[in-house]
Amino acid sequence: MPSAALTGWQQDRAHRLSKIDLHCREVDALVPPDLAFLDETLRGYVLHLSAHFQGFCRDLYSECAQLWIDSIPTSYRVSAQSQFSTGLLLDRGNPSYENLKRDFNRFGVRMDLQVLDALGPKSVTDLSHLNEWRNKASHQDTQPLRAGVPIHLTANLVATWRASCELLASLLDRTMYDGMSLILGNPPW
Amino acid sequence: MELKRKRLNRDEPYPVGTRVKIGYSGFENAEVVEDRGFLGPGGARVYRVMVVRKPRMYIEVLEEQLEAIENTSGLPPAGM
Repeated sequence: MPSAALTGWQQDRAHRLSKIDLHCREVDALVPPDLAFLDETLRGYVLHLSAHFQGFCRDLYSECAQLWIDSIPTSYRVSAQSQFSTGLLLDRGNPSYENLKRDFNRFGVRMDLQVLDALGPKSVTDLSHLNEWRNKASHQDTQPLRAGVPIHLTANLVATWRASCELLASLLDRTMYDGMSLILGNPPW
Repeated sequence: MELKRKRLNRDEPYPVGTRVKIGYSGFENAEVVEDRGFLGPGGARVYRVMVVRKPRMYIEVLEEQLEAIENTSGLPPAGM
């Protein structure tokens, strides 16, 4: 049984992203091609994908935090909620692997998604490239892309990044399931 | 510790902008800024609220911890 956050990712966010993916494919197939519109459309896909992945991560963090808080005396609750809510990188920054680790480290859970799956390292790299393009799109190309980041967007490339986000979401869910089980003494969801 | 809610329909979420206080805390003037959905234990609804003080402070709490209060300031909600 997945977390409520992963359920939301798989049922609601995935459905929304599929519609955007379909739209990109349709624009990609236009005859004659409209490359400027395709570029705009793909950049929109990048922004939506990154935002939904960030949303999933925030949801999972909130779900775990409220479960943790539910296990302590009521009179401590607001104080703990305040501590869990303060200074979250996921509230402001990109959903980078580094930011994820920093935020989820508050639970004292070992976060090493790269070793949990053969595709883990590639997925983390893809997430980094997605965030590079997110910033390039949202800041209108003010920063050059780092070395190694694809310089041309395609629908297939963004779809690959989406698959990596899906894998990372499931790995993050599994990691927190195991970690919260240890903390709470029983399965969190 | 469920606080009595000043609404007729308990099934409806607090709208963004609702003035609330947080039970069992000193935060008596806060504002709902985001409905985070059913992320709490047992599917409880979670809200992100902004505590009205300087500096501004955000906190995520369960619905049962909130009680709606009158907006007596005459000012629109801070997030509006």
